[in-house]
Amino acid sequence: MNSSSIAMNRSRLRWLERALLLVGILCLGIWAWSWLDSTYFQYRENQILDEALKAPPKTTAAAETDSLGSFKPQPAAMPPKPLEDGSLIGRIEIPRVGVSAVVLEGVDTKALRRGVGHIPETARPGTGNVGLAAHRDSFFRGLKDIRKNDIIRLQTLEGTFQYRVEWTEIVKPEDTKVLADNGTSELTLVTCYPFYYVGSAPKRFIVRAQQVDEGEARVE
Amino acid sequence: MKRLNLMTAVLAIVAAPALFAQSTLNTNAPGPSQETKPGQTNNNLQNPGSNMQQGNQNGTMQEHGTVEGTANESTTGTNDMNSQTGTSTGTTGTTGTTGTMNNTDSTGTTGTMSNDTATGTTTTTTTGSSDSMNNTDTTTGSTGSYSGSSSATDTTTTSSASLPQTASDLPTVAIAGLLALFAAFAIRTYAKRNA
Repeated sequence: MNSSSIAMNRSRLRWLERALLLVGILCLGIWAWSWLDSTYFQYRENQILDEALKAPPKTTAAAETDSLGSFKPQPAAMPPKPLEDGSLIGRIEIPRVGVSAVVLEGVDTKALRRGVGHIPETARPGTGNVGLAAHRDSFFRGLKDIRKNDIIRLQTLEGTFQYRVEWTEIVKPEDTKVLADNGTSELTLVTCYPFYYVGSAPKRFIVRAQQVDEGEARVE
Repeated sequence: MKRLNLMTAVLAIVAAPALFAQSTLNTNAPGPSQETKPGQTNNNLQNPGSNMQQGNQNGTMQEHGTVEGTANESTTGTNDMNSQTGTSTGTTGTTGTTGTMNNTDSTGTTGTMSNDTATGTTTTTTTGSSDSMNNTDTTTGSTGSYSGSSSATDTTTTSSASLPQTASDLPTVAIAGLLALFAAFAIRTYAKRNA
């Protein structure tokens, strides 16, 4: 091999090395940025939620001084407006497995990167089958250790709801019957399965919990 | 040792695209039927095969206008869980007038269509359901005549509702980044030893 071909090979290797270095830094940069964004978002939204929960509930001053003339009948209760994607709903906590994350409306990429997503077609907390989804490699990592009778706490601005785990199941992604509303107040957690898998996991891990009152939850 | 370094570098280069191939970026189902929400198609239409709870989509739409001659009317609409939007265009034959109706129906409200020039009166009542809308046209008026029928069918793209995709690309990206760095390091070591 002559000297010119050796020099060419070295030059190629150098360029390959630089290219790989660039790709490596770029990929790790994306990962780091995403992690920082998620961590900061969780911190900020937790603060906002805590402040909102501490604030005294708004009361209408149904004053004794109100005169009959100024009385305005309240409109009938309307169904809640659909929330915008990404808006804060509350916080989910599963103390035994160390899960604690804010819950956002929607299950798009951004919402699931930053927190636990509320599946839009499912019920609001306390009104039916609430569907929540999150990544198995971030917020719902702890679900791999969940078991029957674990307590799940869902804090929202409308109140705190306690659920007790009834069962877990591994289903296909098309198996949406787990999100069906049975008329009872339930919580369904969805994440990917298997928990350790590179790429798009082929199945879904389902956790179904039934709402219990606070006294029942304390027994645990 | 040199061979080992070279093989490591080659392996890393080959492995990186393979890891990307496994990532969620590359696992979308083929075809146009990517549903955005469970129970709905990519057109935000309801999936009739889905067992997801569906919102109330029945509504009544009324058109008031006057036409003469033959009217051709077509309606296209898209359904959302709680809202229905439709556009109806009617054309009268002899006088060549055109009416356009825009109807936004979220809770069964009513839209009105008026034709510019016509004689007679046409009242069209449209009732929509989740999968199809059947229009019933009723014509009243002393001098006008109206013939024609209209129907609107929502085209539902074949889709299967599915649970949310909860696989993150980030671990794949991180692994690919680490592999690329290792490969770069291996190449540098190889080049130094051969220098």
